[in-house]
Amino acid sequence: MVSLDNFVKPGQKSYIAIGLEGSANKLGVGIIRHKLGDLSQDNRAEVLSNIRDTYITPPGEGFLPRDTARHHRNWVVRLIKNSIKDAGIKPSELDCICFTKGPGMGAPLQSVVIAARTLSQLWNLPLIGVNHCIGHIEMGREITGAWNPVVLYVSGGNTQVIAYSNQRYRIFGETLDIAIGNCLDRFARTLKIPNDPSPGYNIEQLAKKGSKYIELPYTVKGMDLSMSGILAYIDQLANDLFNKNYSNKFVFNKETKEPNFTIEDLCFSLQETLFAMLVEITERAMAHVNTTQVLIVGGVGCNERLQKMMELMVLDRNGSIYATDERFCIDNGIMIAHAGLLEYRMGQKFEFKDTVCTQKFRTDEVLVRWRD
Amino acid sequence: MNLFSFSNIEERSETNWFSELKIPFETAKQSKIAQNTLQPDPILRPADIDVKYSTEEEILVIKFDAVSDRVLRVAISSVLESLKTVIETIDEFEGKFDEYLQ
Repeated sequence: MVSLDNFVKPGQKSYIAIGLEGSANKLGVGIIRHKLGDLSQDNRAEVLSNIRDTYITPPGEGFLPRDTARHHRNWVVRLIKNSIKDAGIKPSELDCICFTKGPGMGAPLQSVVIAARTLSQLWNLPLIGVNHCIGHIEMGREITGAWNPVVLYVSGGNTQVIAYSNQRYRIFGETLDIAIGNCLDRFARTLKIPNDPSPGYNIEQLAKKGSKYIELPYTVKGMDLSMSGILAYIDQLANDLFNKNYSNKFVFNKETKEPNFTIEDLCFSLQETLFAMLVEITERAMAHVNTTQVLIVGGVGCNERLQKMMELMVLDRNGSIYATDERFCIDNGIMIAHAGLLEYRMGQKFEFKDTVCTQKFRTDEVLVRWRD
Repeated sequence: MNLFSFSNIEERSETNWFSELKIPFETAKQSKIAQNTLQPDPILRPADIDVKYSTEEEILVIKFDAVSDRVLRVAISSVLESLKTVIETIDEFEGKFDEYLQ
């Protein structure tokens, strides 16, 4: 059994960590408290504050690294301040400062770590670099109580099926090209629908009004997925629909020139196809690792249709599904604080030279010291 | 009182462009914090530029040695952007370790 309290200071009753997240277009700051002892249903981590500011671009536009970094720089100090105020603590009550080391976009990551390093020196607190994916997984486990699930991590930059074995979160399957969130975001750009609150959310709302299923390429490759071909194909359909390209007989009726389907049908079909692929590889991973728990994390994980489809599969296998809401699914600072605090409690230390962010940082590179 | 200053961009040869920034802080501790914060991050491609940080009491000195004027300008503006965050963080939080924030 791993003990989380080997490095406790004399007289200390609990640990508090602040987490800074800025690997994509969300800037999040959160503060968490752990009491001594192992985390369990009776000893839950306590969220003291969890705030976020999202950089939202106009319809049809994605977020670029430079502009996103500027957004983070503009907000990071204010967010840190508000987060500490919300938590009702003094900075001296903090044990460590956690930040996202990667993976993510280089410039936004770097803009946040600058604030983290400065604070660390001002307040003489240790810095802990956290793998973003590990943050999602650990926060998902803590919130839902899923003990040893197959984890489906689906977001704008990542699509992975993960299971724990021997102190690593191992990747069983992943995307071979673009992430699922990226696929949805880019289709939202083609449709020129708003990016507020998020492009994926708006696609989900449109999909609810769709009813006709249009067959799209279905590209599961063993345990892996490919989504760029699906995006190219559906983008073409949408463009033909917008540009009234009547020569495309698949999109328009030959005689009446009426469209055969609507934008809503396209959103519906895209979701059904992509999510079916996710469910397939998740089901296979469950068989591989012999578990009946499935945990969905990441921004796309708050899609209710995905949760529903996964639930149907999991119930067929007499299992249970765990998902969280947008506070914890979508990128946030609290998950970085939580995963970082676990590292801190295991005695992990970072020199300043080890705090350089990296765009590529695979989930299985991290040694999970805090689990058996 | 020290003011922010930088030497003109100097073309020492076609492939060696140089500039020096001097940024005054209120205390030596602050300039050291800025140096430690900025130092670890590589700027652009390390082969194209060499950045050296040092402090002279409360003054942070940054020397840039680049292969072209374009690389030099990009590097300087990138460092200045980061420096703004450092200064804002110091302004907001220095000395507030043991009190509730207002």
